[in-house]
Amino acid sequence: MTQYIHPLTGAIREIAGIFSRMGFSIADGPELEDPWYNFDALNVPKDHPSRDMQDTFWLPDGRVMRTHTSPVQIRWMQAHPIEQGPIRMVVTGKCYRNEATDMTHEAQFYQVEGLVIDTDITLAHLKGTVTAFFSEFFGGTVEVRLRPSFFPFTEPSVEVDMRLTGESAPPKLRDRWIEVMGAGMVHPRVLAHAGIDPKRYQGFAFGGGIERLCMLKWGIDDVRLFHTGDLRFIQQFPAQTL
Amino acid sequence: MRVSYEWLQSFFEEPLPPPADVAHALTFGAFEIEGMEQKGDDTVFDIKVLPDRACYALSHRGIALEVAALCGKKVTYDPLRKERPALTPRASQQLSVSVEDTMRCPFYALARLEQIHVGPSPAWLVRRLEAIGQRSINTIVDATNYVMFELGTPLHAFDAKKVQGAITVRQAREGETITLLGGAECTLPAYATVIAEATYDTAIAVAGVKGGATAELTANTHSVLVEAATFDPVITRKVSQALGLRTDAAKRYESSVDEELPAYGLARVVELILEIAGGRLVGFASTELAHRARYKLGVSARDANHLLGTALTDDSLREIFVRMNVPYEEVRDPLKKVLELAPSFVGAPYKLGEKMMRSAPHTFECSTFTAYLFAQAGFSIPRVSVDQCLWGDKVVLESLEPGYLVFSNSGEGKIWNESCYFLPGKKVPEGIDHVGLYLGDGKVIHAARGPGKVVIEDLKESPGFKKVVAACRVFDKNDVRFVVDVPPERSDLRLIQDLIEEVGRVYGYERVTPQQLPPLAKKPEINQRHALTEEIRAILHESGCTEIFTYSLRGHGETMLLNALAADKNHLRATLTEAMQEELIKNERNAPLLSTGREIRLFEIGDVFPVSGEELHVAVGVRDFGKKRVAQEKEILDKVSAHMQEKYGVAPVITDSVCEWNLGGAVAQRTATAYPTLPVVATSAYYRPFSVYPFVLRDIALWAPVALDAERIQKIISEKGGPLLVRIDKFDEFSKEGRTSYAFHLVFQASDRTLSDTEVTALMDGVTGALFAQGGEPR
Repeated sequence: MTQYIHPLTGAIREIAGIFSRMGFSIADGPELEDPWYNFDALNVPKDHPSRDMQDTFWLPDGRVMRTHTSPVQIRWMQAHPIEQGPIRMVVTGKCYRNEATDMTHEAQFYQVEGLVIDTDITLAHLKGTVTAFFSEFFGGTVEVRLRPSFFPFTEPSVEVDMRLTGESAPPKLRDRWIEVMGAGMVHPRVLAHAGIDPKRYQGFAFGGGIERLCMLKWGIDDVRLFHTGDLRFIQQFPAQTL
Repeated sequence: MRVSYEWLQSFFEEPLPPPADVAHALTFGAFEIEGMEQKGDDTVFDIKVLPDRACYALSHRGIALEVAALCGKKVTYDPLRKERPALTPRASQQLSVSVEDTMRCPFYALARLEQIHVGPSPAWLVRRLEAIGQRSINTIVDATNYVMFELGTPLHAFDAKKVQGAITVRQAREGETITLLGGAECTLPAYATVIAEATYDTAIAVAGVKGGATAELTANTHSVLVEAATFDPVITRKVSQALGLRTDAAKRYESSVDEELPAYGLARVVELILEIAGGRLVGFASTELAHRARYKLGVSARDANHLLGTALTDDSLREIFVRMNVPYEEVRDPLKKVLELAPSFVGAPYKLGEKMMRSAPHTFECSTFTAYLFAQAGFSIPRVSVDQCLWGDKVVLESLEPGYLVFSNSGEGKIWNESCYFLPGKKVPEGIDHVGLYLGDGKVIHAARGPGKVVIEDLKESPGFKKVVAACRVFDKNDVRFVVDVPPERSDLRLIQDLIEEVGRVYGYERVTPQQLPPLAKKPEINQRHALTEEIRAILHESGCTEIFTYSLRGHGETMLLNALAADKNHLRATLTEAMQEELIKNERNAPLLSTGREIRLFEIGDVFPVSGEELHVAVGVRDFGKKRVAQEKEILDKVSAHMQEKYGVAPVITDSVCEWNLGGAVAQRTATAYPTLPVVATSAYYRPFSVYPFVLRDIALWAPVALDAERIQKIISEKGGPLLVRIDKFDEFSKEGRTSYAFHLVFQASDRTLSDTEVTALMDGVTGALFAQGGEPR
């Protein structure tokens, strides 16, 4: 009997595999989150314009549906004191944004997020790491370029674009620059909130939508398909025989 | 923000590169360009200014400086780099301003102009405003808008005749109302700040948000009061949100308009009004601007390379700061600078509890003294002594060297046993209340509480250092530092990382060479949740189930959202079962289109949110269409349940054809040491959109001679069925007396329309005709 792999599971499995081989531990955290983890600890203060960047679902008790997987960064750093060794973790998980849905926007979506902290981690390591990841995820030769951006939890912050070249690249993606994630060097206040001395340690973080990676990889044209449970969609993704 | 290329050019004497090149430079050096539009001879960029740069870049001047830095052009018109206008002459006594609370409004100024002409604006001004999507109103309003879009400082004009008495900036009264420009009346939130005229105590504007109708300009206005001010960002933002007035002024104030900037804006708008509306300037009235030291931010090439992974030199840094057109100083020997500067403050008064920027270098306390000294040499160290101690590298007291900080527990002030801001929660058991700078030869310089001033004393004799508890080195590499005098509009530059970002983006991120991470000594941790869910996926795939993902937000559940998108998505799901049952029904309708045909077996793994809290669940749902439907469904579910029970000790909640398990306990008990190896999606997979139109199901049954085998039949059906035949499934086959009976399901569907019965019948006639011509007989 043919097995089918939901593209989200397929992508998450590949992501977990690639990063595990690069020495990343896999992390997880709650979807229903304390606003301190989702915002404050990540240097997104109350009543600051940067909170507008993420439309949030609130619960009557003051908790939020996490708007990104970044709160897991804080939880991981708190649970893994840096003195016991460098941090290298990746998380994939469901996030929520209070925005109208259309072909490219969903109120719930999956994110992949990575965090690397040590004494001498640089932006060049960020570039190298995401290049290695995308090369393996999409297959083929990948170039990565960084554009300046702003996220409250990183400084400097960048948008990551990639370009696939060569014969093995899917024709629709070949030789095109595509925006794939946000990233940057972890903001010193984020490190401090998680109990890490920002004068002695530094590192990078990156994050992006998994649906978007799937859409690029498999030519999916509508983000809403992922959460429909529709087998007409899922049966287009047979499993690779092992 | 919309930005006109022609307007940008007005900041330069030399010609700018073509618009496409400017857009390219900005994209890779500063901002995302969301659009570019030709408007007559001009090009208008739509630039996405993110919150960090909104303090300076929501203006043509701000963008011009970016273009200068990134394209290597020299800005020749920059009012903000000139000395701050003095706002003279002072207006007569009739014009007075007062501010109730300087936290709400750190600076407020008015200019009074008379005999001005409120009329149409000159063509050049109208053109520039219209290019960026602004409607021209009249000379005065246009001038205030123009200067806001030029320099980033919001301005507002009142008809002077309609304002009685002095102007007061105060908090709104309980339930206070105002009629806004445009006629809408609104009740102000109690935390709002208003501009009021004192005689009748009436609000004439909502501070930083919008003006009131009371003092609106008309064609008969001949004298105006033009306001330039700074308002608290948080209050402005809250009021603007509460009133639903996201005005251009509010957007700038909420991103902080520095208190030094209004004077520039006011001087500029007066100049422009006199040029285009005639009249004369009567004078200015303003509040006092409190003293403030300049922010200093320093960086060395080593610092920049350590964060960026680049190979920048002092020369590259020098070039970058020149291009950025920021005032900076090259400190070749930072240690010497600190040691030479320190004694020049001997005698400066001691004053406790002041903000460093507001007091230094006029008065100091112990830690603002040391912080100030190091800031001048380009080291931003924390403001509080205990944090300075944690920030520096600890050294033993016996090996003090000039430039080291010495900390004591003098008992004279508040003893800090824990980090204040730098590392929240970090303990400092020895307790610190005092800091000084060691000068060598046993001497220490410090802002001392006892003598009430900065003094040099023998460390051994000093009463402030009776009990020295720690010493630290602020920096170990005495590299050349580039110390930037942060311009007032750049409130985004507060940390060394902020400055390194400037260096990096002007240098160009494309010049950062990708580098692999170093190998790690430790193996990655195994995530038990991931390991467990992967194992369960393997089990369920083995049972022929396909994984689905459904919505977590639903019409009911046990936890409700405060701000839902829609009534059918206002709760968090408490189970997976409900959605599973819906998906079974939906997929059953499409069964003829599915390769799994007669049975639908689904599972979902995901978090649910019962009142008791978030839990990880898995649900399995089975739908069978055979005669023994119920029995078969039960058989599959029983098999899976037995497996789950045996392996993880969990029992399901069973509802109709769905079983659901809570995996929380199972995750907690797992001690997996590796992840199972499971298949990924086949490399050949590529999505093809499926039709949203209804399909038509037809059956065909025939007796076929030996020569007409199943494969041939399928080929004929497929040929005659054409592109609308999307699926053929053989569902019956038996042989009798040398003939074989076959039965097929044929599924027809169009991608662009609902198929008509006649259309399908015609295709079926073609199919049966062709089959009978080959010897088939109807059955």
